[in-house]
Amino acid sequence: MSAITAPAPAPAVAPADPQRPRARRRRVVWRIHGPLSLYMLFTLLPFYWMVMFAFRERGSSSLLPKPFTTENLKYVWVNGNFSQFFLNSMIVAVLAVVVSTIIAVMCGYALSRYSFRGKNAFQLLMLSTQFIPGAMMLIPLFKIFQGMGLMNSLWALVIADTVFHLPLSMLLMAGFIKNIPISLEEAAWVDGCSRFAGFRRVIFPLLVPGMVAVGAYAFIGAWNNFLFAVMFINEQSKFTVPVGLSYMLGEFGVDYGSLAAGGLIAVLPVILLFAYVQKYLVTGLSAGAVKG
Amino acid sequence: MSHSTVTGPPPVRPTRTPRTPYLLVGPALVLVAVFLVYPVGNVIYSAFQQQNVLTPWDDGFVGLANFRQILDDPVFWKSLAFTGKWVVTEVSLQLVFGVALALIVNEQFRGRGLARAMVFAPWAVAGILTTTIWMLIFNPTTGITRYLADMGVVDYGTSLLSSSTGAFWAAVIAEMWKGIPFFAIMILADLQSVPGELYEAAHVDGAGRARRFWSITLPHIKNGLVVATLLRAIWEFNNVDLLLTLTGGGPAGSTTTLPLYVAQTALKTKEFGYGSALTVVAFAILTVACVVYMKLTKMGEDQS
Amino acid sequence: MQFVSQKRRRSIAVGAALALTLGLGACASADEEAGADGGPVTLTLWDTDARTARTERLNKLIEMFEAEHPDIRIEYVGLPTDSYMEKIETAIATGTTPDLLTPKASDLSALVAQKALAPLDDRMAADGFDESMSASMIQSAKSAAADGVLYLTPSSALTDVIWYRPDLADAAGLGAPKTWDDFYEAAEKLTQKDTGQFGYTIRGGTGYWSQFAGMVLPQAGVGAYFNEDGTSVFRNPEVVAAAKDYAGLYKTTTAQSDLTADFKVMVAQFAAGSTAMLSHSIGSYPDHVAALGEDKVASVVAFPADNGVRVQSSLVLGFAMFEKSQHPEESWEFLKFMMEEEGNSYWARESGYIPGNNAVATEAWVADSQPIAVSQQAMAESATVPLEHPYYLPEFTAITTTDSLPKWQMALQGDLSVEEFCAELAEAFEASREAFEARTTN
Repeated sequence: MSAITAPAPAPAVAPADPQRPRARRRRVVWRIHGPLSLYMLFTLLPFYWMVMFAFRERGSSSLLPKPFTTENLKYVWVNGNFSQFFLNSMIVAVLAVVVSTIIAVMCGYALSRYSFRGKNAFQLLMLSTQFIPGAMMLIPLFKIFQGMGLMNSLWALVIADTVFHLPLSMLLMAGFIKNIPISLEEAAWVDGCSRFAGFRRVIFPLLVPGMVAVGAYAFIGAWNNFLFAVMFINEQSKFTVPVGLSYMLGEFGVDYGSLAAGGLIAVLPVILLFAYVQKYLVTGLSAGAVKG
Repeated sequence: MSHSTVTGPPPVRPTRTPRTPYLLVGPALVLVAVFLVYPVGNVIYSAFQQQNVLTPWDDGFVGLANFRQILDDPVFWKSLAFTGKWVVTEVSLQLVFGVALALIVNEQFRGRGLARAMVFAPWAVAGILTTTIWMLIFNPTTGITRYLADMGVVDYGTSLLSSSTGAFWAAVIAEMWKGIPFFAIMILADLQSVPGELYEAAHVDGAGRARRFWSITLPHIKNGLVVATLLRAIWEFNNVDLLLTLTGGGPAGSTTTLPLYVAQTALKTKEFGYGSALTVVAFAILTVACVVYMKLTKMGEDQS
Repeated sequence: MQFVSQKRRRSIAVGAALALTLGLGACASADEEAGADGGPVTLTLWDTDARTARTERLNKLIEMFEAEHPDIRIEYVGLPTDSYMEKIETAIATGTTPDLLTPKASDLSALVAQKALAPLDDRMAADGFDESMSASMIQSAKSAAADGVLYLTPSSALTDVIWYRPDLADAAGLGAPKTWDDFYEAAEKLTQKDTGQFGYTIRGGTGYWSQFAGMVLPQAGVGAYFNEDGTSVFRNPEVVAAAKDYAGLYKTTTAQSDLTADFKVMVAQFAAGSTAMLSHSIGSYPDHVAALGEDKVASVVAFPADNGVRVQSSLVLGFAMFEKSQHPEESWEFLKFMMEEEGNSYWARESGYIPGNNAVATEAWVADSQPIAVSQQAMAESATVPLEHPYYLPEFTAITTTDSLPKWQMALQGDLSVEEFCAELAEAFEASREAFEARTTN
């Protein structure tokens, strides 16, 4: 991709180059804006389709949300109980973020800073958690939660989501920590810090972007989980947004407007979160942090 | 700062307190043991049973009968072959487009933050919603083909989903929509950590854009690529939701992956014992594939 | 760097604390159910279809019921239509079933095999519902269970009809179809591929069976799946011929995309005016009216076959109580409420179902509802027989869904002849029945 405009001398982080501005702009369009716009079209089309259905009156076949209506949204939020589902999803997602981030940092640190017996086996074990389709584990998982008295508790969702997303969170975190030079920590140890204090004072601040990334991953996973939410919760007032969404589909009727409106509610928080979080990915573990 | 390089992976400090790493991974291990080992054991146990809630009178231990049945099951072989095709197509396309996308949004241009937020957004969309939206798009009356037909481009009453090839690509596109951002995000995080001075040095040496990509960028993101590819392959292998709801494994069974066959067997026709045996086989295949992959790519080993 | 880290650390800590309080607050209600003695009894109702409008109807009924029974509380839990059986089966396997359920007759096989539901025959007889409820619905509900016992209140039913567009039919100089020939003629005449209008929409995808069986068997004049000698009717020449006619509709009078059409696709086509006829139960009436308006949609029931018999397919939908319910008497109170006039009338009227209560069936709104009226008229004819689906066969779901759907799609595409398709169906049903007979006679 980049090869096409090979002679262009501007590297990612280099200062602006002194070439004639018009030629340069044309190359930037070729290299960045052209492919990006095409990809953007692909990305945004489904979102547009959803928005169109959500704000379009039933029966219309216009390609624009015309005649415009907010009835679908109101109906879903009030009658469809989405306000309650929304709150539940938020609780589960926030708790999952806290639990998985803490565990991921612990594992990530162990994996990136120590070599210990069984490390590879541990990694493989964690990976293998992803090997089994969630549906096959429902009944045994159900029995465990029942035995622990966690049935019908949002904690069951938090735990199940954490377990299933831990391997990736852990590997991501290990990668983040690996990229922080150990010399920074060593300097702290030389200053008399304990290993933990060294971590707290040196690694932790540099790890915030990593934790935001892992946290966002946990949030999205928990926010979107359907299977566990529908299986482990037996109370309408504790169901989550994806369960609410699945209510909109039925053999005796499909209301595309409500479905799309429900989808919009499901998608907005994660999109907004994402728009915010990606800033952290930008500052991420960029050159500045590594240079210390 | 004395004896460590800036870029290379850090040297491991050997055995200062040998207990520490175990304490650190302890909680994760306990969680996995409780919530995973028992369920997996349960599945393995069921694989040797005839178990069907519709015919409880026939339930019982059947030894290897389920596994023998698998060997003679044409749907198993067909779905296994399709799984391979699905995973390879999906992962390689996601890899190529994901890296390209990461490279683009790693450049500096105006509106970059917004562009990133938008192109990454599909990753955050719930699976159940992803298929719902794409179903609306592939639907012959609410979807794109209808508007194309209005313009006279295609015939009325057509849908990508109603032919084997079409359904395959429809599913591939819908899954790519969600999967490319995943790849791009992971790769972008790695790209961020490529020290700028390396590029500057290469630039001074007169290296072109392609050279810089092959000699600086690619080696630096290689580990990230290896991990992301593996995770994505596992995910695509096991991902049932999309195919189940978008194509239902059809038309005529042409888009049925092995895990989708498991889901249909265990959940719809209630053959839980046979479904468990299929799961065990799928698990074994996946484990072998992963170990081979990890060996080939030297993943998880500390290399410098 | 130090400054930043402290600020961030604080915000993370605040977030964590907030999360914990929220979480605990929300989870505390988990133990609410404890105080059963003294206070009102709480029953849990699992609804197998939780679309918003239906949830509102059921909650209204629950309010009405609770007003009459101040000592009973009902907690409604909606389940998604696509995955409710998995949820129920997990509950059965782990002994965590609720008190009440809203099953269809077609759901009973799995539930009865696991002895999950409580039999209702004695209670029905004792409280006089044998007389006040529709005999045919009781019969239909009983025959859906392998042991012929009643597990499901005959509260309501849905019949299969052919929906059509009277306005389009008029414009083409056609009246309402009255015979199978009319139907095929209309399908052909109403197809204008260049403007995107098709005469019929065939269900080629998920759930195809109810349309296939509901059209092919009536056209052949066959009301059962098995002949008297135990062979499957899918071997009968007239059934195979009807299946060929029906499959022949694909692509000639239907959209090519119908190969994978499920309910969502079919109903969207009908709503958008791109198809003129559709086979579905009367349950989709509100959708059609909302999309097209009352004057642009009408229904006809399956037409009499060449042998003079009119076969009508219908499905009983009702309420059931779980065997393991701690409160069977209270549960029965609710089931009774859904069969007695007040509850049954509200439920059936608001849902567009055929009421199971004989007195409710004579109410004015029943005759005023076009689809219900034509269904009832047809049922009252002496030449009409019900289509008996063998829901009691444990393999019924497997045969009619995952096993035969790929074959059906092959048959539509011409990769498998309709004769072979029917022969495979016949074999599967005969094997299933044989196993069933062997079990029940031993």
